[in-house]
Amino acid sequence: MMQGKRVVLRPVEERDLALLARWRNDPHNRRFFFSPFLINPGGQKRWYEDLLADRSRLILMIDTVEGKTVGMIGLNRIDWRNQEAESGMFLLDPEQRGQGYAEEAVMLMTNYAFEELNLHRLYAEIYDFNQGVIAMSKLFGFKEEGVLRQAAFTDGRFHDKVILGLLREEWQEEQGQK
Amino acid sequence: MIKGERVILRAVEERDLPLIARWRNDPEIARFFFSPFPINAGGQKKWYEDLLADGRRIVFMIDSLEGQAVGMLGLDNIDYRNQQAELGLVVLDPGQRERRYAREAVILTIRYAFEELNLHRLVAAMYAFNRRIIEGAQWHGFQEEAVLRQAAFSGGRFHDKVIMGLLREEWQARRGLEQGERPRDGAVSKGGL
Repeated sequence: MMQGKRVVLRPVEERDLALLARWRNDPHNRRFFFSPFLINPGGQKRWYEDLLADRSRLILMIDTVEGKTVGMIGLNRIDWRNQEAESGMFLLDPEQRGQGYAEEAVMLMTNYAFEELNLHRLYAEIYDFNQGVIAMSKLFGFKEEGVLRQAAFTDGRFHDKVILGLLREEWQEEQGQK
Repeated sequence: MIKGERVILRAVEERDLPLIARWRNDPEIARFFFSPFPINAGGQKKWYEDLLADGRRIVFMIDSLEGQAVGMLGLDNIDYRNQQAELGLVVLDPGQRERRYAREAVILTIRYAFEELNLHRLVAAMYAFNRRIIEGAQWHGFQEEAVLRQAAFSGGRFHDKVIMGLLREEWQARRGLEQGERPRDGAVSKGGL
């Protein structure tokens, strides 16, 4: 469990699955996903069982300090030898946007990745039109490393994907300045 | 089977496995791989069985016209919905200094990806220090799209990885120019070349 001022990150429990399926199927959230497929309870259960067996993924639920579940955050493709992971799998309850929960959750997760998991690099792949998340990532020190041209299809056409990367030394330097 | 002027691309057979394991364990070849783990006969067999069951990967053996296996290459992470794949796993037998084998094998695989698999984009990832391969990819029309900083560890330190991409419309436009044909599907007006 990771305790912040406003949110707490904790493991996914079976009781969260119905809520996760609802968020995943939400059209606003789905617009920013690279997979367009809808999920049913059986699929969400299977996702959970795969997650329990998978050492290359770490998914945490975001609770408010009052105990209300407001989102989910995760690290994917954890590569222990190269000490890197993809920072992603981000979901927020559609009714809880704009309250700063996401920002604190990303802060806690990034800190955990560098200071506890001993990762050396985090990266994120984001649709070029998802300017909100790109801007937020840059606030955390992520630097744009390139643009994958026409790499993902959604809404009738191919879109570019932006790759952002953050190195531990950059993160630590930034934290030291705060 | 895909026949070129110098090479033939064909499916991997079980009899190829000892040769593939030898290539993978060759330090001069493994230097450019992202995985440093040596492989034994059992591991190579499992790789082959996984390959047979994996619809997202195609691996070709490269034979010379005389029937000698001189290398391999493949398409990885084939994503049919997004119509893209990674071109990689390119290995040329250390005894074969005939680089034209590799060049033609890549030409044939790119054509297969765009004209038969209906892919829209190919991507390749390589160590930034692997200049020869980067220049080779540029020769085939790939453009540098990203430099992933310190993304892969090898030889005692982290190295940058270069990501290169090639779009079907660019490839079609180039091909038309090289062969003096009219590019198909109005590719020139769409392409960025």
